[in-house]
Amino acid sequence: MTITIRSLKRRSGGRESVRERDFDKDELTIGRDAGSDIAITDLAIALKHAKLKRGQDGLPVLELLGRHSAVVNGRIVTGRAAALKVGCVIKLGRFELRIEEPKAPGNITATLEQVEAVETIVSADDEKAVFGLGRALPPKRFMAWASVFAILGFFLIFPIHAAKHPNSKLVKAIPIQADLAWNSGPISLMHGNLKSDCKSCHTDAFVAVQDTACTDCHKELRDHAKGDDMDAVRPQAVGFDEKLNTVSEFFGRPTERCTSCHVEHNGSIDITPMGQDMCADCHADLTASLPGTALQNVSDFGDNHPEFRPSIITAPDFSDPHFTRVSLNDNPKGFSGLKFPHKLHLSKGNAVANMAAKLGSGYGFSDGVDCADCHRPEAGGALFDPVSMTKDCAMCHDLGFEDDAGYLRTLRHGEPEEVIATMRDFYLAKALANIRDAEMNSTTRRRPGSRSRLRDLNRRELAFKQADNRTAAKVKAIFTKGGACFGCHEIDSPSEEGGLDYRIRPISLNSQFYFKSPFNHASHETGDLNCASCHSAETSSFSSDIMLPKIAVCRECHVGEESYKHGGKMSEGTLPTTCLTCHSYHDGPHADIMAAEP
Amino acid sequence: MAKKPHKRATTHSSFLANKFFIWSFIIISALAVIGYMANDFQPKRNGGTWYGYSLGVFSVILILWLTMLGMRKRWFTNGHWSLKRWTSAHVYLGLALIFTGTLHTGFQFGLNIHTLAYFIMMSVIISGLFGIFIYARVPRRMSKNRGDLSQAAMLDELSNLNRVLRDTAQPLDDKYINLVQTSITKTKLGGSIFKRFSGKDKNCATAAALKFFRAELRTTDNTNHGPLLDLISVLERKNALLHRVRRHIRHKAILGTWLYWHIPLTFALLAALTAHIVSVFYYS
Repeated sequence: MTITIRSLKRRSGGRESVRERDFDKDELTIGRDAGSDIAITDLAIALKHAKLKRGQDGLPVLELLGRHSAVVNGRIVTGRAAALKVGCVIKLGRFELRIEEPKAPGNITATLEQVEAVETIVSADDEKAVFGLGRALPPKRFMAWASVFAILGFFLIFPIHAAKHPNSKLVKAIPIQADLAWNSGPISLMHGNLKSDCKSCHTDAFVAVQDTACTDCHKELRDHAKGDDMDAVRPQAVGFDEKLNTVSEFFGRPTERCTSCHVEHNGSIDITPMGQDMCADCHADLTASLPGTALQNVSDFGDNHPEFRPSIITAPDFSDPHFTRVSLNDNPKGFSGLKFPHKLHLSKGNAVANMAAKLGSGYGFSDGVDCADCHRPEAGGALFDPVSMTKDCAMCHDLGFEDDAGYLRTLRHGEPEEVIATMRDFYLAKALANIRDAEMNSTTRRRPGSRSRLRDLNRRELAFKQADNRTAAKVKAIFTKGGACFGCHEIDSPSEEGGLDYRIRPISLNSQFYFKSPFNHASHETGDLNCASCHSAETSSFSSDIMLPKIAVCRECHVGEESYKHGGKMSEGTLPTTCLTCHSYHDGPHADIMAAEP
Repeated sequence: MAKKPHKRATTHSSFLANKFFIWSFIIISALAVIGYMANDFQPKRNGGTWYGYSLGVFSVILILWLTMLGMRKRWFTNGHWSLKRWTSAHVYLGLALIFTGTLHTGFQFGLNIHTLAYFIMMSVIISGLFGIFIYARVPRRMSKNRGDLSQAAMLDELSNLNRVLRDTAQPLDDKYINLVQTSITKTKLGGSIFKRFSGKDKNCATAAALKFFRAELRTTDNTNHGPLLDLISVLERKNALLHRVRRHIRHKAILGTWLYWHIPLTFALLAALTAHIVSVFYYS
């Protein structure tokens, strides 16, 4: 009675090798133990795992030891003895024990074969998995394309879509303004209202900002000069600059647009270029390039700027005075129609000063008269409100002409005819009063008769005659030397001797002297500057004196751009001064609105 | 007089040692800076001036060319335009981009696509610099660690040790088998990027088994120590090998990771550049 165990090994190429062992026993041990009858080198199998026995009917029986198990014909078997027959397959770990037809009846034959390879945690195939980063990180290709789509989608396709279809559902659903991501830099403070409205300037795709985008709002802007003059004078771009212009045009960015000078998206306060090169390009030699121009050559405030030429009133008129531009070098005289010696009024030790001291602080005087007592800054402070006779002069220069029983009768200012009429009325009234008083107070009894009537008549005639004479004398007095009007006004004498048609000449005062470059007093209130720093009023005896400072005075602080570059310092009180510090480019009365220019 | 041995160009000189491209880098950067300083623009220097455009055009051409290294390395040429030389150019011209690109911005930055493109560009360059730094340090350590073992050989050896482990475990008591099995089947390599960077595995099944068996050796009576000692020696060998493999994985991770930034960022850069350029002309 033999149990035969055939150990089968399949070699590569399908060759099989079989080793047979015959056991003359009825019970074989199965286990990992090397001493087992059927030793199974599998760690899943216990040292003493099972027994293969001959059953009572001679058929094999599998008895599992302890709590070990095996799989018989696909069924898990534990503990008990399982009856086996030919064809049974017992799975023990990676091994199979197959019961086969015995060689001789009554014998048992079983074949043992390792049917599964030893599993290993790693193999050469897994090299990539172990050492490569492919599974540890998101794949490069995926990340690359994902970021490409995200960036192009959000920063290119979406903004273009939004620009083309501003009312599409997608655009309305996304709360972010798409094209703000294209903003190349903060827009200037002056254009702050446009900062979220790209299309107000960028009207057409791939078309550089057009001038019409500017002139739609800036309707009042005027061109600098006549187009023909500009063309005649403007230096042509040559060499590198010319090539740059060509390239610029090629890329659809024409030169000489508004935006050529006014460059946006730089986060500045405004976009007015302050450099003087642009001006000097034409104005440095304007007299040569534009013969007959009234303008003078200028290139730098510091060292090449003509003496100031204020607009001075040469023929006063109430409504339309005549202005002439005269260089301060030519010691110009103005004709305002007024007499006003500044020197007299600003003195600290004369009758004027005493009068001011007497009037005192009630009239704003402290120590004599000073500039601010008469010259009040206008709102904003750039210039001054006109001096007013009633506000600024009348406290001293009262127009009282006669004491009327303790009440000072005063003439109306500014209306010479009214003045004369008032005086005539006054003295006539006085005459009437005198006549009335004379009749009422008469105590002498007169004989009745025509003589007394005649005497009364004569007296009345006389009184009116005296009133006329008095009026004429008084009128003459105030309109001629020593009189109240004559003190300040230029007066034309009456047309005939003894006449009363005195005429005040028209008065015109400059509201400003520099129409091309309005001066701003407020911005000059700095440091220890005062009126006298620039205006020599304290030495001026005639109202015809033009007390404007010459350019040299300005240059004490204002140095030209070029000079400033060569060593000017703000800390030393010198300021970089370009053309646009005082002048403006689009101020020309010369030309039409820019949009209308060809 | 003995003839001097002919000095041969060393084949293992670094791709960094290329005088031509070092000088190219210096000259391009210097020219960019000098041009920037020499040209003043009103109201401000920025990318929209002629000099700004010039730097921008130069930079974008440079970027496109640099990107081509990825394509170039898939071809094979030799000699004057060898891959090594090409890599030198890639490194030094890429560094020059720091100057041309930064000056192109005119130092005007904001929350917009233009600045995004710039920062992506700088990120690409910085990741590249990091790559150079890594390449200068890690390979030496790596070869010191791995010795003459190839990656495949490491894994072979590991699998071999597992086999030996299995064999040595055969006579062991059943109660030990489970632990040996975990060492064989539950020892993990690789895993998450953090694990790879750490070069260690705190929960290594093999290390745990080794620790257990060493303790077991001390506590059990010495009747049947032979198989246990064998097993421990095998586990020790496996443990040492695992250390080495994990250090190797760490080195590989360090060497490889920067490319996971460099490459996708490069693509992001190309996209951002496209959006930058198109938008600038769209709203020109």
